[in-house]
Amino acid sequence: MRADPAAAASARGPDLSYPPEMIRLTDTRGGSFEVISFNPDPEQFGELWPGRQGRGNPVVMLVHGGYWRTHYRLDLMHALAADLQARGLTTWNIEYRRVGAPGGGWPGTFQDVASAIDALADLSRPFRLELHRVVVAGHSAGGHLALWTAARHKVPGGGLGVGHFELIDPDTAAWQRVIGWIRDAEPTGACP
Amino acid sequence: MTAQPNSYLIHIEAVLRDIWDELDDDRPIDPDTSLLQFGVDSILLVTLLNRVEAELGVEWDPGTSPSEFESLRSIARLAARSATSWSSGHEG
Repeated sequence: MRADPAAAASARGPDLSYPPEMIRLTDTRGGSFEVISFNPDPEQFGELWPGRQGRGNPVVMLVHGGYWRTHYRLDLMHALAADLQARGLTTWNIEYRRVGAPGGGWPGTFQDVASAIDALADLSRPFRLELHRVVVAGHSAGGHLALWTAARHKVPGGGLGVGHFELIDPDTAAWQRVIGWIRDAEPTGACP
Repeated sequence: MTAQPNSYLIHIEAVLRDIWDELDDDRPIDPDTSLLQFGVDSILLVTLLNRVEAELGVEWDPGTSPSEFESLRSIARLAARSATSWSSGHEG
């Protein structure tokens, strides 16, 4: 931790760069995606990485981590999303309001993740998504959020005011394989 | 310049009280109790640190051991130490 005069910080503006060991995670590896807003705030969007064409597609929703803070963004999941796309899976890589941005933190961060997963219902037709086959995966803070999506129907008030999306039972051989791909693809080391 | 941990502690307690107010929570604040024990989870801790950073001009190093953030007093000590190293020309 360093003390840093606020005036100096303000003068130099936000530093959005990642440390070198994290930059490789942002490599899209030739993959492609479409940016789709699920709510009006600039941070409420996701990247839809289409899987196989011409057939139903299972979906992996990715939730990035990074100490819950604005500095860390969804591009940290690009290499992982590209890897899953290359294996034929559709990936919904989401952004959300984070601590330090208006509306970020509790409950806004959680509302955004809930909205993002519910948005899959609208995306199911154009992208041929199989909504009975959805897995949510996250890293670090995103891991908290991914786990939370599976239990949010227990939140008083019906999951922060949005619908409850049925997740598949992850305890099947096929989805264990997907989870294995995610685990193998994650090259994060000691990253947040 | 000699940093005073107690002055940081008073400020950090006030920031946490503000957060509690926003969450309609009035639980007591103890500077020596583990933050987890009185309900400061991961996202609330980062919310607290973010505000302290903005108000005191302290920048948190992601590499700092989680044990340094165990209580409000340990966070105040960390802030004071970093201020001292800044003023003597070292980056901690």
